[in-house]
Amino acid sequence: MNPAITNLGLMLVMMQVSRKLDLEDPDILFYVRAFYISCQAITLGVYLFTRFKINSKNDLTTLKFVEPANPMSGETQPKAVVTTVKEYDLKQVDSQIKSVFSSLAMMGFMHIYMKYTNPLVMQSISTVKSGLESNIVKIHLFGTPASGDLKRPFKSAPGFLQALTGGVDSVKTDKHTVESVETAGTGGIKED
Amino acid sequence: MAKAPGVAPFPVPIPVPTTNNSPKRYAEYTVEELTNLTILQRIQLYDWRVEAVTLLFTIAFVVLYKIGDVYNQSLVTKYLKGLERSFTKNFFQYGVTSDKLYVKDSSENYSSYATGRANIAKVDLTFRLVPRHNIFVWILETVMSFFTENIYAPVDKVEIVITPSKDVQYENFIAAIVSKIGMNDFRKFNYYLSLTKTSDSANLPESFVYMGEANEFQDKITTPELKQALSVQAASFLNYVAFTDQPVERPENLNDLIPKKRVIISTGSISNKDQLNQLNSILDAVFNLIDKLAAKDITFKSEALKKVVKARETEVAKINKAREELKKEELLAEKAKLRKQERDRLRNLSSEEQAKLEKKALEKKQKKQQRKQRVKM
Repeated sequence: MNPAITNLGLMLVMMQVSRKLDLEDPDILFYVRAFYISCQAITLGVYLFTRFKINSKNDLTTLKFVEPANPMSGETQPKAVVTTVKEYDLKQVDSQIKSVFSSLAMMGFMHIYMKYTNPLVMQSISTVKSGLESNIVKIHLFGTPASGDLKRPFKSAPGFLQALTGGVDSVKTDKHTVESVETAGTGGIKED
Repeated sequence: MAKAPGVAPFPVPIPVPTTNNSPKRYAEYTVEELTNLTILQRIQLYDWRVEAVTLLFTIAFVVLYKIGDVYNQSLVTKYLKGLERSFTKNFFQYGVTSDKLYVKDSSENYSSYATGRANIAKVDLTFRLVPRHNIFVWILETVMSFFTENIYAPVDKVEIVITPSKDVQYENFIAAIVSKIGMNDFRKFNYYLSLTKTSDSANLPESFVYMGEANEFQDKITTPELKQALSVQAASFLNYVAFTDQPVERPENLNDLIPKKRVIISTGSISNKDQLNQLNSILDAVFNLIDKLAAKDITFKSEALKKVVKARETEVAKINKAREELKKEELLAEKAKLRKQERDRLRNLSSEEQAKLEKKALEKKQKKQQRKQRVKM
């Protein structure tokens, strides 16, 4: 099923649940908090286990693709990426782990500073769900073959801004593009 | 936070110990009482905890600094001593002077040198180590590197740059044997590698790839000796062995593109004996390879060389184009400035003068038209 639709369904359900719960009750609040924390911990655990799996597989197959220029960070030329399956996968997992941390930080602000409790209920299960639904977990934890939609490099769903501007620049893997961008001499950035 | 006394609605009483057996604190003594005490008594009375913590912290920092510093230095010594076999066999001088193996530029930067061999002008070894002496920077950089892309996790890096002698003549080309671990970063930080095509080869262990301008070069630099020295595990400490004539940093003007032939070997810091032995054999293989290039035992097909010349021309054209565009922009900006000055001048003139000028302009136009008509007739 499309994860976007199930996410929406889950959100509606959790909204009802959070309405039923008496969040003023310190006991219930404690359980909600504990549930949220354990959900985050489970998600992190899943990612770390995936990371461990990737490292033990140590797949050194070369992977080449061209990333479109990111005008937000001042790039003007598309960028050729030459990497290995292992490194690509680790990067994917790391970005997922990063997103767990940033959502934790957001929640810390919302819950501790702004005193909202509802998002705590909403965010707990959906983190686990999106974790289990991520491409990289599917490949390494559930053993889904990395083909079709799961073929590396993964196609990212068009972002909101991209949908607005209409420019759907996605990663390219065709030989001609890769070779022309690969030898374009875009390297040599100064370190430090 | 303590409330300021002026803000508090009513004065908050300072808690005074009510029981007599708890000793009076330093701050509770009056000035008279303190002046009556001897200096020793006052020292004993004072609460030194903050000072103690500060001092302990400082000492801990200094000790950690020293440990990190000594450790880095020992890494450098081990590395250089480990390569002694190959260097002393090949070179007259190994080390910055005859009795000094390296120079310590800072706690994380070291350099060494070798010279005195046929076909090779010099070898520069530069170490850029993890800032182990500065534990806070080390931790901060390691953690931050996970969250932002612009900060890189500190790693030990050693670069061995071999410069062939001036009289060694071989063609310009870029070809490298690169470890698959972190190869994208190598391409990112080395301009010359970003000019090459990456390809897998059965010639190399599966943890290495070729990055070269043409298959011709990468095949020919893989001498049997060098091939033997490489192994699958070597990719964990050997970053790359690269033959290049182009700069590491992206060129900004034409001078940067002037070919400077060198062989760059990049490794991590190694203290393992087997790995050092392996690096010794790799170095030997590279030195012998340079001899072969110098003796023209290895030559390249003209097609491959033409390809290189063409690639260099493209890069020169890129820089020229960028420069021309910059010039054009400057010219436009200057023109705009002049026009603005002229407009400002006109605006500042009195209305009479403005009218005069307009009349003049009109006359000029008419004259021009008349002239044109005359020509037509």
